[in-house]
Amino acid sequence: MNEINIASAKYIAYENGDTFINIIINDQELTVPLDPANRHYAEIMRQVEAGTLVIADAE
Amino acid sequence: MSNAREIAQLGSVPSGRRNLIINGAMQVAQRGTSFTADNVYTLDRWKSGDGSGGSPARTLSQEVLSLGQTDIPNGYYYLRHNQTSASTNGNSSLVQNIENVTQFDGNTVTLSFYAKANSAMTVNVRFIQDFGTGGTPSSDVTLTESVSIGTGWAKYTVTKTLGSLSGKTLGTDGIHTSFLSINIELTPTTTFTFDITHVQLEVGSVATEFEHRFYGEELALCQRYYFELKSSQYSYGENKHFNFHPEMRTAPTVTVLAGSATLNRNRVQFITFNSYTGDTRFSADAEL
Repeated sequence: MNEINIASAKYIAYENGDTFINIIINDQELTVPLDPANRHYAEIMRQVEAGTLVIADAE
Repeated sequence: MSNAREIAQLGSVPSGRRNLIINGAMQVAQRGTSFTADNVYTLDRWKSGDGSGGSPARTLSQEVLSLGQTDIPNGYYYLRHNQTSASTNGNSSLVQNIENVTQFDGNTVTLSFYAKANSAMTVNVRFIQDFGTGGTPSSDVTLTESVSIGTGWAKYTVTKTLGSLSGKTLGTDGIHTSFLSINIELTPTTTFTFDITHVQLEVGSVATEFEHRFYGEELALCQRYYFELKSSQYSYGENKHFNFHPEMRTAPTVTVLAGSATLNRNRVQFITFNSYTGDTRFSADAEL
């Protein structure tokens, strides 16, 4: 399988209007833009749709 | 083959830049030179993909040829795939995804590469036309050819005529999400080593001499897909702005590799951090 093992995901929203998703892969934090052309975002959405990942709300 | 004969066979093939593979000489290594995790990018643009059944333990590394060797004309670096334990759950592959499938509309293309293995083995070379993401893109189209690899360096070639794009539908996320995937599946489930370099994909039915590029040009080609700031030149502070040259394929995933920084703007041409410490290093990943 070529699935990316995402340990957790959480929305991050900034006052400038930009929103990202912070994910943890192999103990490393990655900041992912909400861009469907980005491979990490596409994988996040695939796992969310499959019901295997939940994105936590921004604080 | 003589140069004259090779030129004659080329016929109307255009001159100039020929190789559609990036980092075919395995010289650019922004992420490092040794990798153990599966399903990750290794040397620039080269992914170690999992097979359909799982992920055999393996180490990939950048290696160098002996100076003065004559097996590979003007060769220096190669990529070694070392499968370190017998696999019971499938094989793996070396993958490069070439952006924009519309470059390959019914073309005859030739893939060539130098390779060897520690014992004779078979690889399955796949050409996969992927029509991108978003909406309802057409299904992948795959062509496959098996190649027997020997124990000494040799040049291998595979020629295929790719499918026409007539009647196909691209994904709505744009042509930059579509690609032609070159997938070299390594079939043994035992332990083995497989070495490869001078990978070239070109339009036409002839495998021409490998096209050498200067390190700087190859690095620039790679940095559309991955960029790593090795040594920060910024001071402490807020709103540090970093421009990408060339612009990246898509807004990148950003990872802080050392130090501390918080991303607050992210585009194909630039990113901006706040709360940036002076020793921060980061990567920006826009791979396919």
